[in-house]
Amino acid sequence: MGERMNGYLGRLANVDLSTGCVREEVLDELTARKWVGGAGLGAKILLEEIPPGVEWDAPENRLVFTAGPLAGTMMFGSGTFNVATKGPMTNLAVISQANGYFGAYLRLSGFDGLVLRGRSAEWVTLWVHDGRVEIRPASALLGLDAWETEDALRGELGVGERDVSVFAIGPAGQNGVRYAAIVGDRGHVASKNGVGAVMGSKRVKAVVASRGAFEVPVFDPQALRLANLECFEAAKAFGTTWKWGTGGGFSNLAKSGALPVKNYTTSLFSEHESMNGQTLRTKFLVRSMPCFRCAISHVKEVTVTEGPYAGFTGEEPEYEQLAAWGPQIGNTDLGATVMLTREVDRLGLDCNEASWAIGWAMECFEKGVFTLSETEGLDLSWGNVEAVRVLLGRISRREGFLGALLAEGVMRASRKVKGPAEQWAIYTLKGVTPRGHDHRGGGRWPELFDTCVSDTGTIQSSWSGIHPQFVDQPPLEDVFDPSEVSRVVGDFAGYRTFDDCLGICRLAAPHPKPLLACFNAVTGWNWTLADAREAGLRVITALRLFNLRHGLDPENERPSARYGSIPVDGPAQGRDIQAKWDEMRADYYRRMGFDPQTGIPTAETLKRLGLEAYAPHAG
Amino acid sequence: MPGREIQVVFRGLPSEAETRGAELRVRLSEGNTVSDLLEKLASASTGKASLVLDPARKTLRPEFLMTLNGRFLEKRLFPFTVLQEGDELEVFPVPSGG
Repeated sequence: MGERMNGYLGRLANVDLSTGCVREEVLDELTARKWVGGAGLGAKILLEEIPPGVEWDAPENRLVFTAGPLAGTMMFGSGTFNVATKGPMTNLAVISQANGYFGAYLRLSGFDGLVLRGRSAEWVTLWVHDGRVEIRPASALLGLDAWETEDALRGELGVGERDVSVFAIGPAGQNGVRYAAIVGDRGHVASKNGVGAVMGSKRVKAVVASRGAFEVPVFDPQALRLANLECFEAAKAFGTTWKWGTGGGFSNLAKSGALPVKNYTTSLFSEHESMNGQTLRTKFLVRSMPCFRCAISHVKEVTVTEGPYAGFTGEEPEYEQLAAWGPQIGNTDLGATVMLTREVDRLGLDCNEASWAIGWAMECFEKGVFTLSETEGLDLSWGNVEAVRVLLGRISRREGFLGALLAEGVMRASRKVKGPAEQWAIYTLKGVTPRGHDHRGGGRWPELFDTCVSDTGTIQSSWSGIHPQFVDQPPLEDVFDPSEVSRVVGDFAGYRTFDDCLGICRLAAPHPKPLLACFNAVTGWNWTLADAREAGLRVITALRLFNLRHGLDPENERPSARYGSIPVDGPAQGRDIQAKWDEMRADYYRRMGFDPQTGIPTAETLKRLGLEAYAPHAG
Repeated sequence: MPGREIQVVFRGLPSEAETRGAELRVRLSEGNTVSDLLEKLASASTGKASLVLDPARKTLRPEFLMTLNGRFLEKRLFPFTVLQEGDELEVFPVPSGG
């Protein structure tokens, strides 16, 4: 083991699934200071270990689980971790986060990260405990959904619910659905860009980490305690998540035209008040299911008390799931969103992509592109939640014409169907799945733009809007001004990516300044906000280098026809984000230190960030 | 001689916690603009309203958006947008949901 380093265990576990060999790797201080942890370590490993030409399902691909220096400390919500890989939706990099317990337990079991390479001959699970990684047979788990897998593994290991953290794939990951997720701790997901499909391609059914006895060394525990309380106060002041969950903003999004309604065919959803977080928590029975050491405790389990699904218990739908299984599919029954949320998690699918794919299929059914023949008897009329439930199962098994088609994701499905329906699908041309909003309205242009130009395989700088004022930059005054949009996305880039290096839930620590104070208290490094941003920019730029090597075409950094279309009604009716797209993209590239035409990081940028060795034309 | 008065409806105070928000009926002089309305509200308001309105700049705080009769209105147009009898304005926080 290396020298003691505050904030780090100093060890990575490197698992070769092809040989069954587990090797320990030292994480030294030089590497930690350059890449921080979490998303940063993931980006480094992708860039250094996956050469061009390696496909997402090849054994040479890596699947990297990393925590960050704050994970497993006394901070609220410090159970977060990242999954990095080359993902099947884009064939480019992805860094996807999940909350819960795994990030903390990985560290309490002795590791800052877990790197998987190769492909196992048989299905396995990996159990991280007591400073080692055990590879165990998983044949008995095949066919189980993600929740059943959690239960079965706890039974097999003879442990209680909070003794281990289990993240598993369901049928979707086993069957290579392109947007399969990794699901754990009862409803937490690393969902973007098919990380679950990669896990399935390596024949890993689940990863398990024990609540071990290792301790994360902290430079100044008292300073951390105080900074953590500042984070908590900032979290309570930011929106109403602490009170109503992420669904608390549902009605405001509806009234500002930012809900996805029937696949963007309209921006009007008058039933929003019966579907929002306030109604959900007022009408249904609610039980707290907090993440690791979380005082915000926004995660709940709910029991439906009225309607067709009365008596049904599942995890509380987050905003994304309320939107996905409410307006996007034309459903107005809140109880049905609880049912579909649980279904999607059990099957191990990304809820965003699943809802874009199914909403598109419903529009195709409405307009006669699909008939009962293509749907094999399913009535895909808007709002038919039972048909959606059946279709989700078919997708997860790649069953029948429509199940197999939609398992590829909406971009590939729509291109296969062709004709007018090709124009109705919501995606970015890179294949990245947007989150569950109508980004054309509600001040969400920055998020639409960010989703398209991001190098992380999901949003990069936005989260519930972009907040330049948090770091003393001028606020976004005009949300429909293209030059303002590219300014805030470019100038705010780096801050959120730095957060993603830390192993902390953003809902528990939304403000960069107190979060940085926590980082300094843990590491003792005394970084400034500028240092933090530079670290975040290094990660983004590393991912861009990886993406360029693996075929990124900057021409694909734009929305699909429907995703970037002009709203036909609602508050943003007539607004066109695409009119000045090329100017916005060039401005963003310039602000990022990329060539404004090609999107390639300049030599000066690479030198500044210490990435010269990875230059596109370097050895 | 004072001009005619008009009445407009202003919704959205104070926060998303209350899904309907408070509804104010405000009397203005004919010819008043959106900026005039916000200045009047910012000058008079206390407490929770200051979460939405910046008392120093006498306009919306940056993290809020406004619609006029159901359509977004850019902040740069506030000084030039003359209000009419029965106009309805509503504010929304940008950071909402997910």
